[in-house]
Amino acid sequence: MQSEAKPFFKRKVCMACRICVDACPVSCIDTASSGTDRDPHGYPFLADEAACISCNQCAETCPVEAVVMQAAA
Amino acid sequence: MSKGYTGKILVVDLTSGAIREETIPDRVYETYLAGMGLGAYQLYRKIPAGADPLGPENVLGFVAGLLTGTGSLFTGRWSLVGKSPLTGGWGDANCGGMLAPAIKRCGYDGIFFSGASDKPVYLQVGNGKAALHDASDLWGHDAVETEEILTRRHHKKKLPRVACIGPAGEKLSLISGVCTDRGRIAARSGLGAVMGSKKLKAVVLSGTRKIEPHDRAAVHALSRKCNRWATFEIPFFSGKMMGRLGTLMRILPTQTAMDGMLFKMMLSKWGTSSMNQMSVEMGDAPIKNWKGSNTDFGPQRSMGVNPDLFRECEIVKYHCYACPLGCGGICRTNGHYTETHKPEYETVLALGGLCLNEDRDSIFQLNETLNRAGMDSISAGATVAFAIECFEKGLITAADTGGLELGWGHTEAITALIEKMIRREGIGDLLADGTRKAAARIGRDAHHYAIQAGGQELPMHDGRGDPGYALHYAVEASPGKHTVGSQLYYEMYRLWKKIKHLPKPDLLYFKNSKYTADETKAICSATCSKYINLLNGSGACLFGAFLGADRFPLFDWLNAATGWDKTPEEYLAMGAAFQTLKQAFNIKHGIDPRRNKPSARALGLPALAKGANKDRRVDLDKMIRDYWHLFGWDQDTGQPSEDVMQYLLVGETAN
Ligand code: SF4
Ligand code: SF4
Ligand code: SF4
Repeated sequence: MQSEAKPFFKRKVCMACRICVDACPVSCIDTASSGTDRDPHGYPFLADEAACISCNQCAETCPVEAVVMQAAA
Repeated sequence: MSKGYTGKILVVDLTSGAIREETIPDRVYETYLAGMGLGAYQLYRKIPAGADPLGPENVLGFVAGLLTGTGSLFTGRWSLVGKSPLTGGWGDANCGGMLAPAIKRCGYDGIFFSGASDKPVYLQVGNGKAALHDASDLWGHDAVETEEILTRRHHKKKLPRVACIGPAGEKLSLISGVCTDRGRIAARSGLGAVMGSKKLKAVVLSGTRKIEPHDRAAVHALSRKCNRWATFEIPFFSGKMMGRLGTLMRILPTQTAMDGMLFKMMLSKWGTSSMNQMSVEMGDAPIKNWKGSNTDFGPQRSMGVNPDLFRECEIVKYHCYACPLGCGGICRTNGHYTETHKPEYETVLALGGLCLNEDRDSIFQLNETLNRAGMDSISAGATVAFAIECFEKGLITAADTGGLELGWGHTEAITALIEKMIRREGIGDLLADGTRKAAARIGRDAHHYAIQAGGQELPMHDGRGDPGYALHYAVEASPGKHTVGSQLYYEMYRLWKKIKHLPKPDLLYFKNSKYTADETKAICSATCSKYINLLNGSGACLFGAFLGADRFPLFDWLNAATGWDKTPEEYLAMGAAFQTLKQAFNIKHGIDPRRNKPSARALGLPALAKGANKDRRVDLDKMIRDYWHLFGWDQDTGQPSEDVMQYLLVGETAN
């Protein structure tokens, strides 16, 4: 993992279980909810990229490997 | 070595303001797991016999399950434990949302409060740092407002998670609960009033500590397997068809053993409201304060609450922490509140069929109103149904109700009455503590219409349709709860797949056979109690367990998370120890287990003259004796023996 890698969420695999949301120490992952750009399932997305400290907690705790750390564009 | 639990609790004395950590020995986890089991272990030892549930001696605990945060699925449920002011005995309430992992991320398996503050306070906890703050400015705010204010106030890097009481808990309503995540509520047992009596408005948690299982890769591998079952779907029929399926199930003299996969698919499509009409049709839902039947709330009338009408308001699905299923939903609604959690089946039936109210919009509004107030919708709906019947019988009149003409299906009066209960205004004050207290206040024969067990209003599953519910309403330490067992639940748990000596239900059986009180039924019920204790100790959701023990790998998750090597039989023995400890808690606090039987009407005395449960009568006496015997308790009194208690306290002396 590169130090600036950011999480990318694979929707096809994701269960929308919010484990990654809880694991993130800086709460920069959010799920779609009312008032945001929404999808009816409530999948997670990186809501605050600047806040992400690339700690890998989201990827490590996701049980289904739906989080891939990728170098930021 | 990491074992999935933190090994520590936080203990807060609200009288002195002292806050300290306590280390919990491993042997306690190996006897009771964490979560509610750890709660029972603490409360049995710490609450003195005879303590006033609303006094400083009571202890209120927020506990997280052993599996929470380990990478297992369906394991984000936290529990609230305390001595119940509603029943006078063991009290617990279970809730989802995001609070469970937040407790552990602060470094604790539980947070326990004793004493009472003289002014409103809230507790804020970060990474091992905890402080009490003044909550005078929050007192009077509803639960959603309180959560918004505290989240804003304490949002530094980590978004805090909040649990709080609303006005109902502040006003010590004995049917109040504790809310989180904008309206998920730990509703039962009246523990909101305990929090209110301690002047504790909220807990705010923003820890970021890691939760470490023994073998994360093994836990994840089990989760991936489980997820395949949790996400399995087949194209499904419409909401209206669920009602027709219920009708068919009523008409047939036989029924088939239920596979929880069917229920799972209903849950992922509609949530628990999938049952709204079906339960009425098949005789699972009590109607008209338990004296009516499906004929009073037939398909035309109940069409107003058909599952599709709830689903069409959903804007996004709602998942509790670690849940792949997401039976919840956030809904857009018409009326004063424009957004609410999707009302649960229990809420829809308690405010709907039980009061013959088919107005969906009123149920959405009342759902939000009750969640914000922090009042249990089951007990609130049951108390309204009780009040309507008292009005019908002339036990209360418009002079008592402040002019409200109470009646079956009078939506406006029902709404106004609940608002009065929340404010404790006029008749609302008399009703705000549930049916047993209200009946005592009204006097005469009002107690006949208070449908409860041990003081707690019965939920929306009729023991006359499945006597397993009736038995659990009677024998559980927290009586009158539907989240433990029934004949249906036993079928869905599929524990015989893991423990070979357990009875396997016949695939097809005559409905009449459900009413025969034989030993097999007692074994099935005792197994349900033990298993639910393990779920509550793990922080697991009942709906995950409905997938069946062969698809929901609870025992394997526990071994992978802790590094233990226990067999399913050994785990069930832990569930039995936990059940005995709760029973001993009740005995210590003067509860006579023989007195927790549900109200006569709910057992078919007198029997209904028509409908799905026509002529059905449930004889509990033999089943209760057999059940107690299976736990090694006295068959006549339900008392555990002294030797058992020594073992249960894992080396400590009984108080
Ligand atoms: S933990 Fe994984 S499966 Fe769960 S919401 Fe995050 S990305 Fe999706
Ligand atoms: S890498 Fe760390 S900081 Fe970034 S989103 Fe994941 S958990 Fe949050
Ligand atoms: S199934 Fe429903 S109640 Fe259970 S954890 Fe999932 S969302 Fe919560």
